[in-house]
Amino acid sequence: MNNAIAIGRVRRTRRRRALRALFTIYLPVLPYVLFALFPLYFMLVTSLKSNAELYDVHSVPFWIAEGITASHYTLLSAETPFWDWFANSLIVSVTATAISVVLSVLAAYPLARLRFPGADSFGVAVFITYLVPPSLLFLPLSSVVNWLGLSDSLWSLVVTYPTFLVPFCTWLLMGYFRTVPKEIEECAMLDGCSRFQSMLRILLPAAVPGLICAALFAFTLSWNEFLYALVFVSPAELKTMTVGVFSELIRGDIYYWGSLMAGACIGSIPIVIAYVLFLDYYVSGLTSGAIK
Amino acid sequence: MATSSIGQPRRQRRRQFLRTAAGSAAGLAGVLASRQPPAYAQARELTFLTVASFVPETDKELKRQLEEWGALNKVKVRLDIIAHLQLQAKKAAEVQARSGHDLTALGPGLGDAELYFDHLVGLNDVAAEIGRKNGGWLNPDDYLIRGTWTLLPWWQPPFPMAVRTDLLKKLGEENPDTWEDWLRIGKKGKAIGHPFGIALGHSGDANVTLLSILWSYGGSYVAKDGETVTINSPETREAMEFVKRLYTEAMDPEVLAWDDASNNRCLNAGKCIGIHNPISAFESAKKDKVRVPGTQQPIAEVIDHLNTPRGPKGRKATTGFWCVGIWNFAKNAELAKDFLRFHFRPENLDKWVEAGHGFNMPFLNNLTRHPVYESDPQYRHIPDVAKVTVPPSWPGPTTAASQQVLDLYIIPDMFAQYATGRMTLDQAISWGEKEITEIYRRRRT
Amino acid sequence: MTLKTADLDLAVPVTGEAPCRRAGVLTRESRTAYAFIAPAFFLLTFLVAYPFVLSVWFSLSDARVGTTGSFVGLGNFGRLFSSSIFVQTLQNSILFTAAALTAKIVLGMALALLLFRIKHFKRLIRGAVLLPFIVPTALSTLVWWWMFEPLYSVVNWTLKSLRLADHDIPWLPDPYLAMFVVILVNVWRGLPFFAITLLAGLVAIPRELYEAAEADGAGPVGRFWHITLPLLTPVLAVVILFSAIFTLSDFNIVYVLTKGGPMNMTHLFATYSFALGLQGGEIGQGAAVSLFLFPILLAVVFLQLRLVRKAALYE
Repeated sequence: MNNAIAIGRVRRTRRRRALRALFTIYLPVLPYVLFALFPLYFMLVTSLKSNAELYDVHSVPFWIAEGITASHYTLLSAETPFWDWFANSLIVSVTATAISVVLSVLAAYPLARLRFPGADSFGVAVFITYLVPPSLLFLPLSSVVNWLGLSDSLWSLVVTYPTFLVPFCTWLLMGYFRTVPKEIEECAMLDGCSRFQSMLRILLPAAVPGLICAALFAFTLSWNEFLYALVFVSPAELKTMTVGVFSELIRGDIYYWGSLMAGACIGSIPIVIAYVLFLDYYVSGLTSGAIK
Repeated sequence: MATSSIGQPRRQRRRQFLRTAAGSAAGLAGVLASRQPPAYAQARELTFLTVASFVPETDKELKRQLEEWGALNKVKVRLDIIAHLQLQAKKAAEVQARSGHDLTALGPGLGDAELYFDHLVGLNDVAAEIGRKNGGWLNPDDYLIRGTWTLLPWWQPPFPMAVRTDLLKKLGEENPDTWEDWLRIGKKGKAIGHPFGIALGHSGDANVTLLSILWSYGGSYVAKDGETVTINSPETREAMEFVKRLYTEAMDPEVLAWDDASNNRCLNAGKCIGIHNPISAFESAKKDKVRVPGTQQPIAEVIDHLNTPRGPKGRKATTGFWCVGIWNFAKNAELAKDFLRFHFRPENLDKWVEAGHGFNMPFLNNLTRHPVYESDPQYRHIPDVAKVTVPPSWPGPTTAASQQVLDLYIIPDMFAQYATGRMTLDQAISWGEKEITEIYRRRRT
Repeated sequence: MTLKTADLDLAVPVTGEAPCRRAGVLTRESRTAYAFIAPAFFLLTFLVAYPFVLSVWFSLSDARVGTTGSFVGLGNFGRLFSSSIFVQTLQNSILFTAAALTAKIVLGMALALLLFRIKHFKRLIRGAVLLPFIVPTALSTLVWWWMFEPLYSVVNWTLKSLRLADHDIPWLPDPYLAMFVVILVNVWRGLPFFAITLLAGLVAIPRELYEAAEADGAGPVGRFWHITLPLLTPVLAVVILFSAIFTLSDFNIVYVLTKGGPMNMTHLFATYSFALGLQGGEIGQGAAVSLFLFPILLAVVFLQLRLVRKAALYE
């Protein structure tokens, strides 16, 4: 008898708690989620609509009434070198990310661990890079790229992207490295490891979330980059995805809306996959990295 | 729409990149040290940068001609296409780096001739030869910048009025010809949900249409000497009063945010009764099979094109003057000149205009009589419009300053500030006068 | 943990190591440090510092595209003040940054607190909230434009269908609404960065502190003010700093949505400098616009980094 009442009470409190969570957490978060997702949903719907329906002012914009069409995707993949652009974006982003993470690990390590004159100034200087406005920086930079003989090659992007990736990654990794206890490394060095070896064998394995966080960030920024990719590379088959889509699907006063949106949808997939796989690392990487 | 690359197959180029990339850090160091782009062959090569044409077939024809010429002359060729809005950044970067394409599209407007005067190859000989072969240039004096040819005017999309014939009939209107006619029709149209539409925002179309109105009322922003700013005149006031009435009585406020594509959409969506625009709107309506809302009738069937309207002081219009030029840092200036001669041969221009459905009209007398303009009654007024089309700086010469007045959208802003009531007529005009004067003053030094 | 560096630096003169350093002999540690930093250092010097110095030169000269120009001192900056468009741009940028930043801080904090307490569908919801930040900006801005485009605007369609409006609302044609839309899109894109980073900060706060506060009888509001907020301050400071810089230099959103119109009411530094420097070819003038705030930003960054570091030191 008593037992049954107790069970009932537990159930009731549990239900009450669930209801409270629904009203104080899940319902308030719903508008945010809708706000975040609606434009992307709209992007998807637009990419699957026939032109006749798309340009009909009386049709309902929210869903597709007259049948789904793949024609925008077909146009994209048959009449433009879309998959080349896609591959280029992938190659450039992966390479630039790899280079940036390596350079940043090397730079962040001494900033977090060693004492040397100029450490502070370098830390600040790295940050100040972001104050330099890119909308004009690309002009002088184009002289440099040309002087290096890299224009019209994917190398120009692989070399220039790290300029805006390295500062953030360095800063993030610096914070993360500091959270890894110094002592474990000191032990390794007593055992005869060099600085470099101890960093490689002891610190880095302990800093995987930080590394993933930095890499994800770098990959996102490279994947989204527009201006350098536009200015430094012109041949159609070497363009990156964002630039390619813009140059072939906006023709003067005609926008190929369906195909533009189709490009945006496909273009978002790799990055979404990357985040789905590594989301937890991303948050925990930021947890330690961004704070310290 | 351009597809595969010309010259080196694209997969191969990327594979080359991958191979180089495989060398990782060492490879990078090697590249940096030798300053040699990894994926480059050292052959005779001609590169051409152009803007994505509003009619994609034009690009295909241009590419075909480039390839044909390349095969004849054993030269590797490459045509690169970018969106017209991105041309400015690209040009600036190439000039800054003093490296890039050999041939490049320039414009819109002839202003690049002065802006990049020190970076373009002189083309007097080529221009003379092309003029001779094509019945002469339309208005050669307009195209001479600082007394010389540094670029060739290439093509223009003339601005007729695109109108909905069914709606005109419904309103009992026939053959509207003056701006005042359009105000009257727009008023009636707006009452039944079909307003008139001209852009008043930051767009090229706004510059074109408002300048056309300004001139038709006798105004201008700079005198023939290219120095005296003439915007503050009774004629300008008259034009501004007219546009204010047009805006408040015959149009929707949305025109303030219109870009070059908005009026096309307004017409094709079945909303606007008339727009001032090249035939691209009609062409895309035809291609996308857009219907008149609520019916199954293709909207292209009820669209017609009329002459650009006339005002109390006559009929004038302008448009984007798209040009082509050769950088003086081009690796192959002579080859580039040779291709220009090839492309501007009457038979090649013929095919190219044909491919563009008459959208891209060359600045050459013979080509304004091209059969394509008779192929469809839609195009019958295009040559008339071309005859009254002048450069945007008219009556002044094209200079870097005249170009900047357009790039900063001073004219549309001046009109819009009065039309929307944000400023009084005097305030708006003196605002415009101050901005224009400042631009011209800065450019003189 | 981090306070050791600074402490030891202060302590250096007392130890025997100091004279060595003063004499200019690098310690083994310093040498290793420089070797590690060298690649990043050279990359940044070569590809950022050099072009940057050139930009500064441009802003002090009458350079046009393709020319080096000659020195004109602060003439370009002086001239900006007499341009009504620039004064407008300055106002716009301040309004834009202040409004977008405030919205992102408040909403980002609220969202982070909510995300923190979510137990079910955690990954799914976090992922969904993060999406706007990772989808290519150039393309996602286009979607927004399509959503506010006068004729096909899905927003107006909805408002009209719900009978909340009886006519099309001129989102982009009206200068104030246009500014609102531009800010909205910026918030849409930047909010996830705030939310996720603050969430990361929340995760790091030790649970015991809350338990102790609860034992002392502190309510949810009290706990927020006395524990969450103070402990989040360092994260918040860095996030705000980052976001302020990126918001102030935003280019894409305005360029795609309004091109600075209507009547220059949405021009920001980046778009106006682009219009002047590239479209008009007046590199000097354009560089002056984009570097206008540099000295102020530099001071702010310097101070804030100092503060952050101090806060971190005495954590």
